[in-house]
Formats: sequence, structure tokens, C-alpha cells
Amino acid sequence: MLAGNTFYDPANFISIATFALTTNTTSVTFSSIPQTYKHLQVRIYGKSEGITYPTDNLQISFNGSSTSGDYASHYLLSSGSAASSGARTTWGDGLFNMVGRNGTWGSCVVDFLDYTSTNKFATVRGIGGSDANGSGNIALSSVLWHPSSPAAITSITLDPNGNTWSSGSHIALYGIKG
Amino acid sequence: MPATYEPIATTTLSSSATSYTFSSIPSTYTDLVLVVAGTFTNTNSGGNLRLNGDTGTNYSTTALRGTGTTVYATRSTNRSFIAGNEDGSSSGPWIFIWNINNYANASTYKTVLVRASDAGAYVSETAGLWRSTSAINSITFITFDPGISSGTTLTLYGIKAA
Repeated sequence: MLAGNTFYDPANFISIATFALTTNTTSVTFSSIPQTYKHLQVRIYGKSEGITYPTDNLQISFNGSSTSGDYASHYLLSSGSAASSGARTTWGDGLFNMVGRNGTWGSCVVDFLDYTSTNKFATVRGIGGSDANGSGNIALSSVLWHPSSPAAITSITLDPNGNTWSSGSHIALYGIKG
Repeated sequence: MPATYEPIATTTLSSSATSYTFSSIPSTYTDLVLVVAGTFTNTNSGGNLRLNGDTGTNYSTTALRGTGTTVYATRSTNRSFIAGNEDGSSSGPWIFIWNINNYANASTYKTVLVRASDAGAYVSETAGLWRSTSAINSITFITFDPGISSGTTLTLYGIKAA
């Protein structure tokens, strides 16, 4: 701080855009994402209109791409009675068990680190799940996007595993300065 | 594009205590994050959360925990608190990071995510449920056997979406 100047503490965590859904919605897209941050974080309180199972995967499309072979994922999961892990190599699986489903609300926090990089493939990690007093899942999961060459992320489309987002779901994108 | 992720309140315990409560939490944020770093006074302690002072059996959890040798999947139902860890083998030091998204809504039950880490004993992540549609206006971090040590820090942050 220079003498005679007030202390300046730059804000580091910035709200970029939010979807507060008032109707059931197939997917949401954050487009034209500014390239001025170091990292991104998506915070979700939401559920899908799917039935039977207590959580849904968070399907992610970067820059409008759903090219199946360009995505891979891993997960570590607790169903409350069994722990499991697995991997997938297709677009549709996304981050495992991140949001609620079948009437149960869930939460997740998803980090997109160094999303503007053009020299390494984008990797995302999420923690999420739901509990329904006798059922539920909690998961740690990651997704790799590996198109023919690394690309900066300019848009992110999120849907609950091909189901629709329930009205009341809240999906917020934040930028984190480096 | 407004800046957000603001410290609402913070404290460092000057003496051991069984609980600490953040009360009169403003409803103006979207999410809350509670960070607790410290130690317990006993190896049998666990870090737990109660909301709005509710001591009823309205809480439940689904959890994943690794001890270094074994991975556990656990569930609790109809409890009087959300357990942030189920491991009683260490007094710490540990860190709890609690994410409480959409805490001020008054129409749905509340879901809490917590990551707990004690590098000497375990790492865990938990989804917790509070079966209440009330907006959250107070948060109590509590242990039962017997206390949270002096020097433990507790900080509550608010995150506001645009």
C-alpha cells in the first residue's frame, strides 16, 4: 500500500452468471465465459425430474461439444452401504452422482481449473450428492475433455444426465482470479 | 459482475468448548461455507452440525470415508445432528469444510456437503440432510465427547450469486 492511499483488496471470487430455474429445464448453458479468470467454480443446489434413483450425474459439454470419444471420467462413490469406483470414456456420463433426483434435492461444487489453457486438456472435479434419510449418494468425480487439441473453455452446458432440471434448481458460475 | 465470497464471522476459541454457534446469519447470500480447523480434546470426538438450534431427530447422512487401510460407506438416519466425520480415532488436527447451498430458501429440505480431513486418521466426504424447509439462520458446530480445543478457528463465509 502506498502512503496516503487506502488499502485495496481486489475481489477474487466473482459471480459471473446464474440460472435460478422457475420451470423444468432441459439444460443450461453458460456461454461467452470471460477469459479473464484463472479458475471457474460452479455451485449447484438442484435436482432432476428423474425417478427411482436418489442422484443424477452432471453431464457436461464444453464449447458445445458432445463428441463422445472426447470425454472421460472417474468417480469414487458411497451409496451409504457400499463404496465403489469406476471410469467411463464417453461424453454422456459426466460427473457421477452430483445432483438430486426422484424428489430429493442435492448439492455439488465443481471446479474448472486453468480453464483458459490451450496447452493442456481441461480437467474438472466435483464433489456432490444427496441424502434422503435412508437413501442417497455422495461422490467425488472428475471429467477430462480431450478433443483433438486443447482448447480454452468458452461455454459450459450442464444437464442432469439427460433428464430435465427441476424448477427451483439453482446453478451459479463463479470466476476466481489468479 | 459483483464480487462475493465474504467472511461473515470468524472466531478462534480462547478456551475449549462443546459447541460454537453462528447466529443471526443474514439471508442475503446464496450459499454458506463454514471452515473449521482445529483439534478435539478427546480422540472419541466428532465434528457435527446443527441448524437453527433444532435438536430433533431431523438429520441424516450418506458418507464415504477412508482411513488409509479401509474405505467405508456409511449412512445415518433420524439423528439429532449432521455428522461431519464418523471416525473417533484421532483428536486431530483436522479441517472441516461445510458447504450449505441455497440455505435461505424456505421451500425445500436442506442439503449439506462436508469434507473432513485428518491426515493422521481419515479423510471423508458426506452429504447431509436437514428435514426442514425453514431458512437457515443459525449454525452450531458441536461435539459431544467432550470438547473442541482452545485455538480452533471457525469462519463462516457467504457467497452471493449474481
